[in-house]
Amino acid sequence: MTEALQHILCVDDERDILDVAQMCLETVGGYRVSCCNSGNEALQRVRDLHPDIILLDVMMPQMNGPDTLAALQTLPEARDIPVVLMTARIQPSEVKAYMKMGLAAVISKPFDAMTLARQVQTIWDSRHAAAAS
Amino acid sequence: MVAQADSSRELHILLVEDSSAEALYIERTLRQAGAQVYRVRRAQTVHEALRRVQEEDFDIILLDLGLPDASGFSGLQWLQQQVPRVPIIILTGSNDPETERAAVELGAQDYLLKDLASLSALSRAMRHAVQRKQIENLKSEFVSVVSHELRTPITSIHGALGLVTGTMSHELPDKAESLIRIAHKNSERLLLLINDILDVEKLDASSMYFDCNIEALIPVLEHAIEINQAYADRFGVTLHLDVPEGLAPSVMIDTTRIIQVIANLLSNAIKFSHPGGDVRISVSAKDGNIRVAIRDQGVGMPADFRERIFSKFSQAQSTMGRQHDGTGLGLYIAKRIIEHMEGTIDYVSAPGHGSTFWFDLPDCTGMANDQLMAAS
Repeated sequence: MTEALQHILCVDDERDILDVAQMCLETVGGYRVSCCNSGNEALQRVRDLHPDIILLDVMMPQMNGPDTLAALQTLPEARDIPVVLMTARIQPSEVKAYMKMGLAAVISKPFDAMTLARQVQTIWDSRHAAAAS
Repeated sequence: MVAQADSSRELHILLVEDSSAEALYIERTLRQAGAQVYRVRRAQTVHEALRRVQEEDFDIILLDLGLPDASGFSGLQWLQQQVPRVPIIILTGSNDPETERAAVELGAQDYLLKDLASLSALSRAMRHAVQRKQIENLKSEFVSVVSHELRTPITSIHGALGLVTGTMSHELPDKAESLIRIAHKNSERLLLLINDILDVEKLDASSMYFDCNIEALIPVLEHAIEINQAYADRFGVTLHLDVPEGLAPSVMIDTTRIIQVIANLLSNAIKFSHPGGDVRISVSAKDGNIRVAIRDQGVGMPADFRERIFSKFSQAQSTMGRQHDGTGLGLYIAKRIIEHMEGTIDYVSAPGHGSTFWFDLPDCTGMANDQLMAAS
């Protein structure tokens, strides 16, 4: 895990949401942001992109967020990348189950444009602190 | 999917009844049916019923209220939580209008007295219950799908407008900036409304999930205040938390849901306060309950609000409410959540003298201490 959060991969099937999230993270947080339109695309590109953290939409056709998370966990090159689910529709019991699968955190959707970057940074910092201790 | 209530197929019934004699009577009664075939499974306890509904699909549940492992309406609530789409009819020996009203309010489709449960009465009640539940399920599904479909485009709109107001407003002409702010504020309002409608739908369909645990209350209150600090700052209102020395209560709560309730009460107190006002959150213990009270010095409410304040869309009928942002669903949701945690919610208010809303929850401090002792 690198020291500073620099590169974020956003995965969402809604192009407009992806564009807004990208602009929020670039403009407010100053991060480099890559985007994928599906879980499959993320799995194919994660090795080349090598992001520091992945923001994953839950409700996507074909391969949804939790399935993508499970598939990422099987890839040696992606296993250690923290994954954050972004959703409005998740039960606490599901969160607990996904945490056991290696999920780093959940960010509620719709996100706030001005605080999204800070939320991601906080998740990164707490993961980093936990890894260091 | 709940079955059609027609006579062309058999109706699969789960009869939850601990008395063998009464179960036999119901089963015999149903066997007399001609065209309609009833297949009856019996469970003697709520726990057995909860297991059976996981193993098999049922069209309807006939539930006795006096079961050995469930007091009051807990059996009804557990089963609703487990199978929210299956209609439940209460079959009881208690001819009490108050119990009947409460059962139906909690989501039971009907309330039948065992003494009067003839074949025709039972058949009609079950047919109507299945049909009503089917319509309820369709409505619920429709509201849920529409709300989620609405949320996707609004997420983009809200995010985009938020980014413009937050980072680019100085680049815009004054009038354009003002218009963008109006659009952003109203997209937020629309989102709140959709969230509230989804919550109401879940509560009414008994499908809201509660993850209740014994929790220390004060850190939860501190967190709720922290979340609402920015909103208070926007209105120039100061938030205070008053906790008597030595009081560290624990309560049985779903933290996320209780924070939702506190946030709702706080946001009401803040927006109805005068600029520069104070909102005080106080905690007290009395008669086995922990009370959380939220007091403002704002405009207060006239006495005739009482009858509708905890009902759905309460603001729609109120000229005062329409002047302030809000969906008119928040207090209804808060009341249902608090009741789910076996608490009560109420308020006092007078025009010009502010309002105090409070909720009481059973004090579980002793149980929390026992757990700590056992763990150490």
